[in-house]
Amino acid sequence: MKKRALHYLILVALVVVVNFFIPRLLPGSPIGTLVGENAQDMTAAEKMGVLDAYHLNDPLPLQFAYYLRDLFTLNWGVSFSRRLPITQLISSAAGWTLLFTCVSLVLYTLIGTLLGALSALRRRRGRDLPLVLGTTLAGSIPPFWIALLLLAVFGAQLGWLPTYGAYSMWQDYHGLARALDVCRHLALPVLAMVVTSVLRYFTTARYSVLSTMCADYVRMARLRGVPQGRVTLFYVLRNALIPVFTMVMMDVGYLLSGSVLIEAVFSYPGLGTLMANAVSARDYPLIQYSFLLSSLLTIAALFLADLLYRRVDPAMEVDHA
Amino acid sequence: MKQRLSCLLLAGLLGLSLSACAPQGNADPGQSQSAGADGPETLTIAVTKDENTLAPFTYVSSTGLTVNRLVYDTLFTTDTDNNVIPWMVSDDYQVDADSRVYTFSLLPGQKFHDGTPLTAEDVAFSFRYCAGQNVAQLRKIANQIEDIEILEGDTLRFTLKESNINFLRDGLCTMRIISKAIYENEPDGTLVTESVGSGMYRLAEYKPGQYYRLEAVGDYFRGAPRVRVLQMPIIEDPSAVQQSLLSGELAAATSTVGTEVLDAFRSKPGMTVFASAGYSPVMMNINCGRAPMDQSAFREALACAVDVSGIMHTLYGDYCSVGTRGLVRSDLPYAAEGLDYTYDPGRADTLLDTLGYTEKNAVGVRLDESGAPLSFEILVYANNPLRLRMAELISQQLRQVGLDLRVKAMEMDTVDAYVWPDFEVSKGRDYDFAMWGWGSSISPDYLVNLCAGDYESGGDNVCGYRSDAFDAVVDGALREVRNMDQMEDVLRQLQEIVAEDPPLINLGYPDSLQVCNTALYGGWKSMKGGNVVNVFSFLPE
Amino acid sequence: MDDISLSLAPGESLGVIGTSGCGKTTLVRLLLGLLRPDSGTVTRQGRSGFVGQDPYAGLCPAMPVGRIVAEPLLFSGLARRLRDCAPQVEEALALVRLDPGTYAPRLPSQLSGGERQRVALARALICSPGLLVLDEPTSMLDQEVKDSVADLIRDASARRGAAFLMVTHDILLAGRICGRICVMDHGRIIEEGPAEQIMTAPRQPLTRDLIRIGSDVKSYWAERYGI
Repeated sequence: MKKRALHYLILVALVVVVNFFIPRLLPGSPIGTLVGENAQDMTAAEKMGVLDAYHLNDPLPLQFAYYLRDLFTLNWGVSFSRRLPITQLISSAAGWTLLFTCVSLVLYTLIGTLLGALSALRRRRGRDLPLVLGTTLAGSIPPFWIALLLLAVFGAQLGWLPTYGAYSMWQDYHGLARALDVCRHLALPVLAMVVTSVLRYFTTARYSVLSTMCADYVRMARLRGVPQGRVTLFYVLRNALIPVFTMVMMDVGYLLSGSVLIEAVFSYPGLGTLMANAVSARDYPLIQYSFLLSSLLTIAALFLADLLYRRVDPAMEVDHA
Repeated sequence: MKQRLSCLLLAGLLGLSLSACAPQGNADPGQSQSAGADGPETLTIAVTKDENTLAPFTYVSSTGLTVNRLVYDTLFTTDTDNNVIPWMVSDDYQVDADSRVYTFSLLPGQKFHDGTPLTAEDVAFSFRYCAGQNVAQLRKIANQIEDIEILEGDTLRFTLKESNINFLRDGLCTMRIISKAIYENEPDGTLVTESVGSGMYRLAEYKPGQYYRLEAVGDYFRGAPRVRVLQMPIIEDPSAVQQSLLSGELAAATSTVGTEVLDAFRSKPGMTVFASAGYSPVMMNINCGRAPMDQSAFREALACAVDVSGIMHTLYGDYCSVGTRGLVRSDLPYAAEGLDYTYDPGRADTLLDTLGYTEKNAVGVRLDESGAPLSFEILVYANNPLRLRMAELISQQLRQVGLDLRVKAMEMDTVDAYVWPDFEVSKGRDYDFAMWGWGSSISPDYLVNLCAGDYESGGDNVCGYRSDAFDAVVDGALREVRNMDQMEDVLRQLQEIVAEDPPLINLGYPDSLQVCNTALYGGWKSMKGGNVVNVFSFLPE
Repeated sequence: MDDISLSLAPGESLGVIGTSGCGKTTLVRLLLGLLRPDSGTVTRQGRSGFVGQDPYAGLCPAMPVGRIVAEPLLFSGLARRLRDCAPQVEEALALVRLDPGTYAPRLPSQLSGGERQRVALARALICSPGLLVLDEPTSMLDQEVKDSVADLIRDASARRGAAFLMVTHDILLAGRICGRICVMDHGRIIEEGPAEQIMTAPRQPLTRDLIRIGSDVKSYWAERYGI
């Protein structure tokens, strides 16, 4: 257990270091963002002066030292492109993204797993082919395409649901009305995300249940006279859902980063858009801290999965380290 | 049961796709309908980029300049025909014969949004302050000023270090006037979070990443704006903007639309397409410092081998102005005549043969002296499908004359890093060809900036072009110019020179196409070379 | 199966011997009620318990031992919640000589083959069945533990007052723990009688062969490995 925790700490340290280099590896420099569009109007000396002020011309080890200092004192500074404190930008954006992705995750995990398990349990040879085809089709469509489709039909043409934003910008709602308003704005993005993600859970659950149903201990349980309902629940599903658990943990790791395209289409003010724009603008600090947050979440998810695994999958070897 | 479920799913998906293509119903999202001359209470206009607080030191791109012009005023401004007119100052302003000294008086009744009156002190402060700020464009303007005197009343006299015919347009139309009280104690303008200007709209609310809310200034000195509130959500995705325009949720947007969606808009009642002449050129840059492009005849061959007019009309239909060899838009007063491109692949072949590239390999690509095929790369922004298409068409045409051009699409800043590292032409360049564009080409400085060999004057010379004849004129005749007529003569000379010895291929100027919902509001005014979201669209008649 | 008649009184034990394909599995199925005979009847008194051949297939990998053993109580409605079964689970585990405190929380993956079969036995006996049916319970176990598990089967059933019927190909094993033996071949009973009698004085050639093979195997293991 301790050894495992140490591994994760080393991983976190690596991420912190790599994160420093990622923005600096991008071709180009933040000078365009720092001095505005007509960068050629400044002399080379003036531009150097600007970069100096941000320590961007300092030797790399020195810049790294500044980076570590700022990171650990939580003095993350101001974004180059957005002129606002980075903590403020990231916290509000991350909040919206988490809302969006968590709701989607819960829905597509439940729906996909349920459909997949049901299709396996109630399977008669070949009869469930249309359902498999249907979900495969839905899962093969690129997320932004389905997002645009939903936007065009339900948002623009029918006008049932809003087409931009996380909440109504022009009305001031409170309490329950506001919660409902947020839900209305969440509906289409979540739908787009769910439609495209259900397939993975459907297929995993389906094939896992199918193979578990043929397992010896399941047959033996039936032989011993254990009632069918009990067999399905405790013998089949309990064991078949282990791969699904793996997938859920992996998806938890991507909660902060996997939604850029859909956020862009619906103008949802999330972290995906923030990170994408930060990269285009070569906004070093914003890139660093948003990527760091995303990576840390992924690592945390892996760690959690590791901890829970032994409880979930009884076939795993106990670590006697 | 399973089958029925899945059939439903398939049918649903099909139905969804079809209905997205069908003509749209009308949804009214809560904008008040217009009636008469006074305009609606609110309008929703999309902004396509988050421009921070819209302040002159925090805006990000030209979209920000468009929107913050409503919040901040400039001393002069360009009208809908792109002529310079006084805005904050009275008509009896004076410019001396050398275009070095500018004298003008402020019109009365101007106030900042926090209620304080706007005085000559604020004007003087605005220009001086920008000299110490990091916004390149404003700093350049500030650096041209030798001295600012405040005379009695609200009269100011600016003296420039050197005479500059274009100062009215480039300087006094661009500098936003800020409040001295707010900025004087803040050495770094980017840290000022409140956005207080003196323009016709006040920034009432800004939610980062989400929206702006502008409210009309009732006692604005030129009259209260016709629309009281502008709600401006930040919508970056162009398809989302188009859908919202079509459904009536948006009255307008700061972005342009492509020619391919015009029919969808035209077929809707209440939608009007505003096509204004665009001054943003699209061009193919040639790295003039790299062999074999360093030979003038080779570049001339390229100019003959590309069907400039054909390409422009293929991509933009009639909504464009074809480029000329003079690199200046043909309808500008100082454009030289008779410098059109002629599509002549035969001549290109002849020129290339004369240069010695007569050998060809098995697939028909010419070989150079060392026997290597004449194979090049053209860099293109990956997110610009029109430019990609253009590059492909050029590639096809050059193939006809035995030149192999491979299209390489890359992310915007990466392309910039190869073509214009650190935005410094003195740092060199690393590319063969690149699809390129500039924001505007109206300014008389444009041609000089683009082609002058000396990096001070030729700050935009990303092709690395060097022409002794051109530089001679720049160093000689250009410096002697004292008025607009002389300027125009010199510019015509320069155009003739670059027509003979081309630095690049100037494809043309796509029209600026914007769509507005005229059923919701009828006051839109399109601006030549500008955006439909401008001060004239909201000024009372 | 061809004209089979068997009867077992409470407390008795029967070993059914035969080679593969002679109908042993069919017999087990009939006894458990999973198959109906084409003619004739199967009469049982009380419940049946079952222990299968494969120690790895018999237990659900995700359930701890305590839960596994308690399961028959839960699904037959004799108890509502797991907690209520604790005393019975403890008793059953003690019966098969597994310490409840150590073994109840363990998962099958943490048990050896012999331990698993003992757990299966505990589970089979927890409801106090009238009949315990065992299908080759030791054939997949290591040589060292075969005998101890077999003895446990005999002792545990006796203590619980259950009759047991063990189907196996190992006649020596049957001779060790069963009261009576019957030998089957191609669906028919060819020899039947008290275990002692069959072991010492087999009449059928098949029976004699089976005894001889069994003895050879046993002496091989004894010589080579001292088992």
